[in-house]
Amino acid sequence: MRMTETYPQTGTGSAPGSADVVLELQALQKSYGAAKILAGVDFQIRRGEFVCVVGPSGSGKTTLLKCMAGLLEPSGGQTVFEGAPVTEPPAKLAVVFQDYSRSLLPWMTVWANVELPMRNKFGKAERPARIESVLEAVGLAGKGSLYPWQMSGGMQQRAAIARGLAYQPDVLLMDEPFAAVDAQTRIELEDLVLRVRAEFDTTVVFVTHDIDEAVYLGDRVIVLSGAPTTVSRNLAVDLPAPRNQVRTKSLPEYARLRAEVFELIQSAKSHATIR
Amino acid sequence: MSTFPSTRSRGGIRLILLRAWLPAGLVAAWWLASASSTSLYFPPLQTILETLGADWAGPSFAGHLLPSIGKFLAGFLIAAVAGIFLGLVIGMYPALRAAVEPIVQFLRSLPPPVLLPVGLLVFGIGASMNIAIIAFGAVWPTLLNTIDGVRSLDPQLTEMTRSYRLTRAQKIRWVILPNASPQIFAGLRTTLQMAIILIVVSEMVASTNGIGYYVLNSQQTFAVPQTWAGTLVLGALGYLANLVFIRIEGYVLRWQAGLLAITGSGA
Amino acid sequence: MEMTTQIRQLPAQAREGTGRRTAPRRSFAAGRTGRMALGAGTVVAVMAVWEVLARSGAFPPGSIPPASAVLAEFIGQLGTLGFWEALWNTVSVALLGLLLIVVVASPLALLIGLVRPVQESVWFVLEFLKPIPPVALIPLGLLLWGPSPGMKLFLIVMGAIWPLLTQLIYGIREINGVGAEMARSYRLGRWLTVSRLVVPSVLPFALTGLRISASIAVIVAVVTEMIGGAAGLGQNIVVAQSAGALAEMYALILAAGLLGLAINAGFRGLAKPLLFWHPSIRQEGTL
Repeated sequence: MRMTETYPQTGTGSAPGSADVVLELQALQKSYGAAKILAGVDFQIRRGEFVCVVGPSGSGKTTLLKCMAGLLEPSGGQTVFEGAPVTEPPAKLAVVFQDYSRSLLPWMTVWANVELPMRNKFGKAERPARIESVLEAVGLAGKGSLYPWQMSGGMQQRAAIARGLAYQPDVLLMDEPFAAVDAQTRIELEDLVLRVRAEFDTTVVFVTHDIDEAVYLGDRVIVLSGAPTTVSRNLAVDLPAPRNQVRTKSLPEYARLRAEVFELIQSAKSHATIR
Repeated sequence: MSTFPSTRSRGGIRLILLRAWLPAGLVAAWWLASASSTSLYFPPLQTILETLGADWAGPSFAGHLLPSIGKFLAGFLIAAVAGIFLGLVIGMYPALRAAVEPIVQFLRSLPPPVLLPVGLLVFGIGASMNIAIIAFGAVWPTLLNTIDGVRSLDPQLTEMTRSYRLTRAQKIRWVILPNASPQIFAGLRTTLQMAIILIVVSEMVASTNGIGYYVLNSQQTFAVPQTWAGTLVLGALGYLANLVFIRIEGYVLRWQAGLLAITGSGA
Repeated sequence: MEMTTQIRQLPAQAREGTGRRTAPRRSFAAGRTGRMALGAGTVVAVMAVWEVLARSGAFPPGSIPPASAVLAEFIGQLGTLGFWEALWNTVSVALLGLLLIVVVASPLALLIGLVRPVQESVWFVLEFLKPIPPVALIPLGLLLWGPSPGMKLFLIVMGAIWPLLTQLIYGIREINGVGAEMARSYRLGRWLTVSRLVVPSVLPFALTGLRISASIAVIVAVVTEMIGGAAGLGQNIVVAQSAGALAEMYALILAAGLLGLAINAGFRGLAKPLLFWHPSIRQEGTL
């Protein structure tokens, strides 16, 4: 049984062809041999948006993100970033990886980790001030001389976010960035991401399997079906900004959105098992 | 790598005594047992030490010790640099690795001393032969470990370097080499041991100076205290070389020591 | 020669990958047959270059004969009794030495690994003896015993015992930690503890140590034969060299290399069924 490929558009202003579209997936497909993971994924990200992509486990979220990031060549369709098809990782796009312990370099201090990708973008003189400012923004001011393994998981993920921000991308892709931290740290980091996104005026695509997180963070939530994956719904999130862990989450609209996403994921799961 | 944690971590005079009694006792026992020895083969330790002092603080220092150290360092450094460089290149290209694998496996399995006659034929007797034998015979552990270390790169780190568009040189300098460095150093440690073996043996076979030459020459001329003294110097040299190496390793891999201490894993 | 051992794996590297990896690229070099073909091709190419260089006189005169001559001599050697005697002399003493090493090192390692005061007492002596080059004792051995099998055996044990001893101590101390508490809390009893916990956890260390000890044993055996004149492969090499029988000398060197390869292959063959659960086997690469 197949999910509809022309998904219902509940979002208000997400009409295709809009001028400020920064990232667009066009019928993106990916197969590994006979296994079809992505079966034509379409959506658009507009400049300044915070979009959460949520899907059941095994729905190819990471595959999708890698195709968007230019790390993986799609089997069909394409990703268009700022008007050009993505064939390699674009210079104006940064990725914050799921597992900070495997993406930060343990032989370098936090400062050097943040500085490394900047080497090709910023002159030597510009870097220190910028590093200071991103470390400050993620709450790691004065912690630059520590090694990643001297810090807690939450702090390490902050450092990874700082590295992404310092790269000054137009779009920041985040791959389940808080999957490995404890619940309280996760809450802190969620609010941190919302804050720095406003401060640095970055477009964020946030991939997660956590429904609450998706609804809480996103201006829009894209719900994926189970593999082979398509977009099962594209939901506008009409929750007032700034978000607040207590107030936002007690709004009836939040509960309604959460329920809707939950239903979609559950049905995607059951279809996936039948298949 | 030291078999046991260093004294510093736990300290205490009791520990120092505990560690000192056996070596001190062994030396004392040797001293006493050999004091009145008239055996040709087991001269008194006192005689050995006197020979050692007279010889190695005197003419043999410049005549044998310094040349040995120079040749050893040259050979070891060539082996280290060549092993790391070639290992890096071979590790980065799977096709190249497949191509050279049988040859490399054969050469690393060769007991290095059998190369001595070849070295003699190609280089004759002298320093260049000693250095060449060390370089060619001791390079393999570093080469193989570097290849392995390069290949052990976490795929997520590869993706990170791609997504942040690091250049090849940056990737090698900041990611591949540091990632491989624990394995490179494990290989270098074996290369070091092999280099010490080879300097001694190659000087025994093809040199007119150096400690290896001195010891074998002493044995062949039945200069027994000299043989004993030279053996002690060789032992001390091996010990010191290892000590220096461990210091350097500890400095370069200090991030790893910290990481292991924090995560609490490892033997 | 120690290969990729004694390095403490970082937890980050040991972690199982999450998410899907990049699809493996199917190239010629990736397949098993492709790899073997490439390797064989290089061997043939190296032989060919060697042959051409030797025949064209690019090597120093009287240093390296053509590959074909060496190969022919090697095949010829395989048919002579002297070759097999020499090989047996080398291998048997190395094996005997290795056996002695196991017999001496095992109880020593138990004592050092389990009894704290012993551990501390022998610390300096071990740390001092370990890095001493095993060949340093050859002149002394020659002086005391002459070129006899006993001298060879003594030097092999003195030179090659350290890797096994060190690795065994590591292994024994490893069980002292977490596993021992597990065994106690589940009240496994002596037999289960030894068979299911002690042996499997020490085994990888023992095999690593034994492999390094074995290659050092062969090195020491060959060197004592070359320098001390004890009978064996090493002596034959030196004799061939001084007689100017170059092809024979290179054929014997080839044999020594193949012996080393056989030892390595033997250990790999031993490790596979014994350590099938160990990460180093599960993700074993080729090189």
